[in-house]
Amino acid sequence: MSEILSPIIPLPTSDFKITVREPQKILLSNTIPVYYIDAGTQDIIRLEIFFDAGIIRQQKPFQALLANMMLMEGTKTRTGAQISEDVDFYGGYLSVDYAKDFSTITLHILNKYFEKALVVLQDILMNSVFPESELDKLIKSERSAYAIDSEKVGYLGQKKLNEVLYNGHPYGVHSEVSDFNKISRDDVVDFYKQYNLSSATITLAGNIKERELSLVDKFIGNIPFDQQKKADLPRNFKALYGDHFVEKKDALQSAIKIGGHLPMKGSDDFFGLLMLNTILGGYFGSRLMNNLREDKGWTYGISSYIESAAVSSSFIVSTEVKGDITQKAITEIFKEMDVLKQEPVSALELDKVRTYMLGKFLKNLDGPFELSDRFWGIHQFGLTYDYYQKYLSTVKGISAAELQNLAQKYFIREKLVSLSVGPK
Amino acid sequence: MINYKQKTLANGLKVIAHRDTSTPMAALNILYKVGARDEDPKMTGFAHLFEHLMFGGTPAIPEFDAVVQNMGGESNAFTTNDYTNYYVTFPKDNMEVAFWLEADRMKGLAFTQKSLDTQKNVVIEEFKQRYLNQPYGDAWLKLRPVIYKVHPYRWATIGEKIEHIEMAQLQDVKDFFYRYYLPNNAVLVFTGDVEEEVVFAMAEKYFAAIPSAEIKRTNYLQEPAQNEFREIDSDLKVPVRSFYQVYPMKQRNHDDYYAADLLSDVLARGMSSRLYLKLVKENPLFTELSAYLTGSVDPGLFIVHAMLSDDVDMDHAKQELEKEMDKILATGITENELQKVVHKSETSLVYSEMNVLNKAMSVAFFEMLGDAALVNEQQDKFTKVTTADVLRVAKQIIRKENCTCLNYKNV
Repeated sequence: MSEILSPIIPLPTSDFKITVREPQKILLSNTIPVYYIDAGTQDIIRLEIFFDAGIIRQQKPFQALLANMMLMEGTKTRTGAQISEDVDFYGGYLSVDYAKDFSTITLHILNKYFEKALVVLQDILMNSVFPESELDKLIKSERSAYAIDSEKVGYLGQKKLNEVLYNGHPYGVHSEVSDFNKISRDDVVDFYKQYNLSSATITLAGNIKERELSLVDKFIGNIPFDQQKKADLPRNFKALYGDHFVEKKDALQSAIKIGGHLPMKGSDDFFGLLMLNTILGGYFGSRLMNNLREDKGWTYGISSYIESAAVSSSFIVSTEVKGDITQKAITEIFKEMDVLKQEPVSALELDKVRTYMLGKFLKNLDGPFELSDRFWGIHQFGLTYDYYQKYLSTVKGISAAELQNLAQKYFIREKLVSLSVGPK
Repeated sequence: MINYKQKTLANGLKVIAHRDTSTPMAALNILYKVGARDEDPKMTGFAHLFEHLMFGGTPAIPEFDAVVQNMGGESNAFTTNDYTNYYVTFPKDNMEVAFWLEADRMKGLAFTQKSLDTQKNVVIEEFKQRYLNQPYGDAWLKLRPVIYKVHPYRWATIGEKIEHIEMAQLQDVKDFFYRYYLPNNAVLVFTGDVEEEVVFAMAEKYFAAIPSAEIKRTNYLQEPAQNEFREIDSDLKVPVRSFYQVYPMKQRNHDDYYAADLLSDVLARGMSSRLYLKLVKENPLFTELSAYLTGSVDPGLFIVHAMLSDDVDMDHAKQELEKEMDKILATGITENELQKVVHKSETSLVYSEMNVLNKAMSVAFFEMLGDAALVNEQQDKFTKVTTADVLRVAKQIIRKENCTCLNYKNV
């Protein structure tokens, strides 16, 4: 076949214009802060309320989960079904979620129905009653979901990793399916105290104008609440570094999790570590993907990531491989970390990763919800937009030698957990 | 509403451009009209395996993704029973690199033994991770051959069995490529802040010289109507008992699809849906119930999936479910229920147009179905559905002799 295409690849640029848009802030009449971003092309709104009511505030397993989900199960005047019906009818989506540090209520709705949905949201915030009968049903369904998850090696690995990395901390409390039998309505109601609005933050993103802001004030800004003094966050844990194994008989694949602690989000080394993580396992072209998937075909995928929480950041490598090569795969993962300690990253690879990360960052700023997520991603840690400037200058400027130093400083076998879940 | 312009190149490549001035990101989506239904029944899973090989390099570049990353982009692909879809997102300044890349791999692949061997292993691990090593992961491997006796939907995109993937040879890869990966068998959609004429010029520059060829489609039979109840059990040990009830129905581009979709929403979308209210909340026989459609190009499936509560008799639970279905068949749905699910579809649609990639994929999908213009007709089609339509379609689909049931009883 004759040459039908230009053989020369057009030269890409990495000089993208990147503007990080910050939200504007208002205080509702009752002083709840609202951070809003008016952007995008669609007549849609996302409203999120963040509560200082995550796993970190939990005394017993599943308290945070159940209290969070029970928000949807009934108020003084609406059953759970009515709550859903009154939002569903206008095409809205009301959902709740919980994580290590925060719990959330999220509303997605078209602008034209915003007020209809706010009526329901206000009711939930003021009048939740946690009916015992609904709790029983919820426990049943959550117990069965938990039992299903517990058949998955990846889930079991993540659970064990939390337990050993955060040994002695609420993040790392061990749970069993039987713990669902040990939780009462009192435990749930007790945990609900964490949902006090004095520590709540609201974000709004989408088509947000004066009308939308005043509606939020009308329905949420008039809710009374007591000023609550929260207990200090528990910060102590003692990680159980080293090798761990959880047996899962007749699994076809083993899950591997390798993890350790890193400095807090926004601290000096953190930005370079984000880059180091990307090179190791943070994108499709990473060293781990090239080695274990593209070269050896041992896995469908392998990734590493950095997860930041209020008391620590952690670094995790995660994959699922065929059972008989588990040990070999673990060896290869550590080998890739060693290579980063021993050899500087080539200029070619470094340039590729820089451009990739800049493009990815641009994508992560694309649209109102993304902009709002970038805000919460720093605000929850008490960081300012200076964080993103540092991020950009690190991505553009960090040297291979600095990355190598970070690898030597943090990729230390004795300070890492290596665990697998699968057949013996 | 997605405004677009379209043009067909001399070699048959369909090019569609949508300008979105609100974003610095762009998406290039190429859909090839080949999927698992086009496979040789003795070598299933091939279209999906082939999708992996499209990232394995060409004579000009060793690795597709490295170039994508070098332009600040990301790329991925997926295979369905009907088609294979590739996409790249990137800062629009680098659109020319994206066009070059996609044209380069449409022209030809490196076809190396190493790439084939590795990707066979990767796909086999994917097979295990997603279909065998998950509770209920085998559901569609079990269901498809019982529902479809003659149509190639009888196997899943991952393939009928791992042995089929192991069998693939390099010659098969080449044959598949030159048979299906043709400009006249593809739809290219670009979305981003670029004038349509510039997009067309760039498509012309990089794709015009790729030769077209006659597309030799596989001949396969359409599935005859089902006329007996079919039931199978999975012997897989599961943590919670569960079953699927699956009903053949019309294809994606049939008008009845919309009524069926709304019916599935009335039944089980969200916590205010009928089945959820009655059978999860009021009388908690189930911990979870869902209903959804495959929406395939050839006649598809309407699926009801249920997870049982502990200590509930499965037959009793099924009878109660049948009673709820019978109520719908007797009296249909209310105006209020219809309005609710139409509102839901409106929100979903507004959402699906929030970013350049989703828009590009939707436009390509509808062009593959027959006409890109369908993308802007969806809401209208949902709004036009009446309660009478839903009742008629429900009666057509929800019939015992049209049902296949898969049970997971082994806890």
